[in-house]
Amino acid sequence: MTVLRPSFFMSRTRDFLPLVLNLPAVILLLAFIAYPIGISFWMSLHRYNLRRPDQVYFHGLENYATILASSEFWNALWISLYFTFMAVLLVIVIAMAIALLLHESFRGRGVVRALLLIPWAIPGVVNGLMWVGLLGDYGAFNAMLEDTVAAVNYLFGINIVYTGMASPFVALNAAIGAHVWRSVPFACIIFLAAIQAIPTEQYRAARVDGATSWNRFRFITLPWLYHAVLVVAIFETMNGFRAFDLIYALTGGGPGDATHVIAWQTYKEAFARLDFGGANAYSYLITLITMTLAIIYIRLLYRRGLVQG
Amino acid sequence: MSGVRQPVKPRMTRRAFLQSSTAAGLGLVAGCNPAPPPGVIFKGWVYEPDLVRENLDYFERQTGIRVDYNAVSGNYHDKMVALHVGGAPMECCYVRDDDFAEWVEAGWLRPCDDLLAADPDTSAATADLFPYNLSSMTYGGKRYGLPYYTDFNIWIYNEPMLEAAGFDTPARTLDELTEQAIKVREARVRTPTGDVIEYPIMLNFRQSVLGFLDWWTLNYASEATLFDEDLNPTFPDDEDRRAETILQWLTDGIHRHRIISPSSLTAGQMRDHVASGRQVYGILNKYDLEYVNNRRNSAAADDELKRRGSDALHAKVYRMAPVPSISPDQHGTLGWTRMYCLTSRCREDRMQDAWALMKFLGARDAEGEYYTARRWFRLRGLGFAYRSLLDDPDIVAQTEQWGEIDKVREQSRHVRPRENIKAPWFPDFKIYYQPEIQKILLGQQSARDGLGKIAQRCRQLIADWS
Repeated sequence: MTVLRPSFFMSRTRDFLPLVLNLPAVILLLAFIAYPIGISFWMSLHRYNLRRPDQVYFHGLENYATILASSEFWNALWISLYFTFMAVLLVIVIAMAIALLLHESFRGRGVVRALLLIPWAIPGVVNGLMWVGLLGDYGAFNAMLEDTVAAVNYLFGINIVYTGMASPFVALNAAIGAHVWRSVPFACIIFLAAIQAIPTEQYRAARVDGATSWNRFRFITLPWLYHAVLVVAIFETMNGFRAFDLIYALTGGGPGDATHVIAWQTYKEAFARLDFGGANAYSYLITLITMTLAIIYIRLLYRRGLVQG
Repeated sequence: MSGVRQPVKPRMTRRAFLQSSTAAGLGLVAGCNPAPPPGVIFKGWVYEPDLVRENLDYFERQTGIRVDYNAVSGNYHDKMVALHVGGAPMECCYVRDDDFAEWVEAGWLRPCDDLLAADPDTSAATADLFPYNLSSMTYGGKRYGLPYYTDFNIWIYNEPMLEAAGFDTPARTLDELTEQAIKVREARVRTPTGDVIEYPIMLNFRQSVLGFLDWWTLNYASEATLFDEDLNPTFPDDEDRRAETILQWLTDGIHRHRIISPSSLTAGQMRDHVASGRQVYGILNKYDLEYVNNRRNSAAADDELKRRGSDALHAKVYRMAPVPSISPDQHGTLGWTRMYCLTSRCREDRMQDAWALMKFLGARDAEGEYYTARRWFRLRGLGFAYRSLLDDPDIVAQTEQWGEIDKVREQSRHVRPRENIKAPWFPDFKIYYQPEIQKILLGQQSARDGLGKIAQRCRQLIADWS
């Protein structure tokens, strides 16, 4: 029997062909992802203010040092942490509750599932503008809040002055609410997919053992959802830290500095101060913080053995 | 019918796919560096682009010069920064006085002194400019622009509402205004839709790149000087502590007397709020007076004209008055300038054409008329930078339909641009002072402490930029 051996040329072609075929994708990734990431880091190490194009020079980590020494950064960081914590918590709780509901059989479930996706399809700026209308002076939500405050004043004989979006507390929490409203559908789809993957035998066995619905949720559903929770938590943490378009449209950073989230601060550095060195340093700090939080999530859930590797 | 399956013919061969991919790639590369269009490349923000195009069509007919006009949508400053940094071809563009110094410092604008020197007619028109406009278009002793439009802030009051509350003249000082506004609120005057007006005064203290003009307006009305000749801050210890007094008046107006709406910190588009008839007093761009007194836009004007049984277009429901000040002998307001500038990338072979376009838009046309400025005023009420136009019979007649020319003339004598607008650190100042003033208005810090912090930041910026 004759064994056919590939010629040198054929063997080389076979080795390189996959590389050649992947080359366009690799070039695109390098050009549009790796290069901007690299150049932005390089810029973050420079004094690079467009208002002084003649004074661009390398100054190491000074942009980072300046940012870390500024009160604006720490204020923005705390606001972003609060924003992100509340957003992640609310998104997980609300999305899980809706997913559990949508897992049940009822008439019109398909329609409800389709409707659920609408907020997710709305762009961030449009979402912001929509909430401007709802929370503005003549908005429905504003009227509801105003009436609620009036009712509380009447019932308890107190005198809380309702100032709407001019109140820092209302403005920040309204921004969180608008962010959550848009983020819930995505999380809900992930939870729904995870719930549908839970073997029904486990519920049947639990019922036979006399487990209550709460215990079935706690000991069957929730453990099966930890992986989904991790995915949602990481996504929402990143989204929370990057929240900009909503703030831009809804509050403009105000009142005072109540909604000066870190992404808003980055925007101001880049486009109001034209300090591209500082703005890139801000971006890298956001990346670092988000990455740290993601690692913490993964570590916590892995350590507890809740997520299988 | 045969049972033999025919081989599927590929719709596109591998060779054809590779050829078309290569062609598309080459097209993309070519598209990245297109040849600049013929004619003068001119960019501006989106304000009535159809009317701009009409003006340009007229210019093209007059001169035979072609203009490639592009209205830049979205955030004009941010997009233009990207275009300038990217070296996009452009002969001339709109520039706001807010961005003017920044763009000159960045080297994106070209001075036009040489072109003015060679053009005695346009040079002579300089003498006709309001001083604050001329100052706003000059940087480092060099002239960079010709005016697009300009205007100043005015104090407005709703005359029927004031009369309903028992007043026939508006308050002149801030203290009088407090008393008057409290009485207006107590009189429970109503909007055209029948709602009781809770807060008679609404101002614009929303944070924005172009915002907070009302703060400057109130300061200048009281003739406060916020910066010295070297642009060092004089507040909080400026003459008679006027800056502090004004901020305290505002804070008291919101929290103590409840005459100023807290929504002043968040609401945008003041003219729509005014036009809805929900406001007794406020500060408005002068050119918006036409808008709020035009029944097509304004429920307040429409309601008044219906009450009178008139089918006129305008009603002088809102009238202008001197901006209330600390003492009655003080006068002043804030003005701003929007201009046309040549960019530093203006091509040499298009320079004269670009200058002709600038002259047509920002000065006189080929027939010696302030064509564009007059047309903008006629169609949209936009203010103009040329003093002589205040005596133009058409402009006088038109102003009298919705305002009072004498008051416009009087007010235009007291206009000031922001004192530090040409400081290289103005953008840094702008993003710092707005939240700090909002914190004062929210009662989170005292007026003195807030102003002290802003002054401290100014000094730091001066040191950083010197």
